[in-house]
Amino acid sequence: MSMMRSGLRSACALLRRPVGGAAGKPLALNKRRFASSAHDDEYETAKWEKLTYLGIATCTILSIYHLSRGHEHPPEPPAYPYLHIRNKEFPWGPDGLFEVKKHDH
Amino acid sequence: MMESIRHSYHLVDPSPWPISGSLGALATTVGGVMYMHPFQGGATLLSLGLIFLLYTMFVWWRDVLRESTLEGHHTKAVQLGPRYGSILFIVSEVMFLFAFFWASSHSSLAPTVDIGGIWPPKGIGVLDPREIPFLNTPILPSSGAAVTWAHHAILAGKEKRAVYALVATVSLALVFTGFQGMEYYQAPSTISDSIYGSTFFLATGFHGFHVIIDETTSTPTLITSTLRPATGYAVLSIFTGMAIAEIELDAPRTNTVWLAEELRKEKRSVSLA
Amino acid sequence: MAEIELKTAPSDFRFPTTNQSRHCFTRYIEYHKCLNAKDDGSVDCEKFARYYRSLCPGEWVDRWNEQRANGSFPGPL
Repeated sequence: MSMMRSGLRSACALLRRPVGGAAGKPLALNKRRFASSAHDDEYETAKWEKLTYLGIATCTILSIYHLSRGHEHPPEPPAYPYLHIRNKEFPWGPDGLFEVKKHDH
Repeated sequence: MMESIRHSYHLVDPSPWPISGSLGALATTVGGVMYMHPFQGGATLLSLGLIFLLYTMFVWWRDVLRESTLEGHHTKAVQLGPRYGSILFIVSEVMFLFAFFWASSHSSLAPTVDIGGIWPPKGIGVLDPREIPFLNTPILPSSGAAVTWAHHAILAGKEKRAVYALVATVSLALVFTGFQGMEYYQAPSTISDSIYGSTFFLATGFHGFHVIIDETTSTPTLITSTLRPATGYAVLSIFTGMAIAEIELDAPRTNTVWLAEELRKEKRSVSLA
Repeated sequence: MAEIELKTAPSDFRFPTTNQSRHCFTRYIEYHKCLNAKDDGSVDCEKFARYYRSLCPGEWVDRWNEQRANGSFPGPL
């Protein structure tokens, strides 16, 4: 309720303020309204930039490790009745798009 | 005319795009159904509908850009619109994916007699959670960190950094999609392999689709920001309005979805009775 | 003249619902697990056979027997 009231109040404040200057200072309008607390944006930018770099480094290491390991193919299972269910043709034909994947590499 | 405005809301001019978008969506849906059932001309109608829809998106958003940058209609009150829109979209996605988790839990916690009463059913190659899922799990939070970086960079008035940050966001999402594609390609089972395949690929597939939506919505923003800074930064600010809503609601959700997916991928066999 | 005793499987606390499909399937599994555990055709397993025969539709049993012969039976044996 109080949030709604404060929202109304800021909307009223907006009405009194002259609209415009979008081309000159488009980003001045971007003040955080829903944030839990106000932070210094310079500081936050630097922090999240570092966190992003850290994330990218971690992901790169993991990717290299994963891609260098290769993978194995499991043996073909017996024909259980619930496997490979086909009730009608696909729009492009009788087979799935990647059906031959087990044989081509 | 402008003198008579005494409120901060944007009352839009008449526009053909809502009806053209509706017709495009109708053609896409009907064409899609016709394509999936053996009807003549389904593929044609589907393609035409998609083209019509993409064209509508282009011209409609072009108008929105003009209304914001040239006509200055995007007041504080108007900017709340896309934000609430994003929040509603994310909430609907949460409910959508909740249904898939329900389906998955329903099928796995008491497996039916038809699949032998065990989970995973025999013959289903279960993906190893320590492989690609383990790799993709840190990629999504990193993408979230990058979009948070973009958000703060815009608030701090550093547009260049914001563009770099968004490039990082989208690149990480693309890498995620790439690995997901690789996992699907290498996966030993498919969506037509028992209820396991159905629930698994429906849920992970829609999650991947969600990531692709994020990519396609942020890429035009990036291109405009790079090519036409004056227009682009206005788009950027609209976009971040949406992105903030996304981060606040989506980051915890994405992590939950992803963790739960990992759990699902783990080998679990429910012993019979 | 000896009276014929008609008896179905006893109620089992693992399957308290009206739907007894899983009960039938479990008894079928139990019978075959029992046969595997005891080498020769022991009489101990016969009660499981009686249970699943009175609980299961005949077509299901035929299908499962066929699947066991093919090696495509989905249950845990």
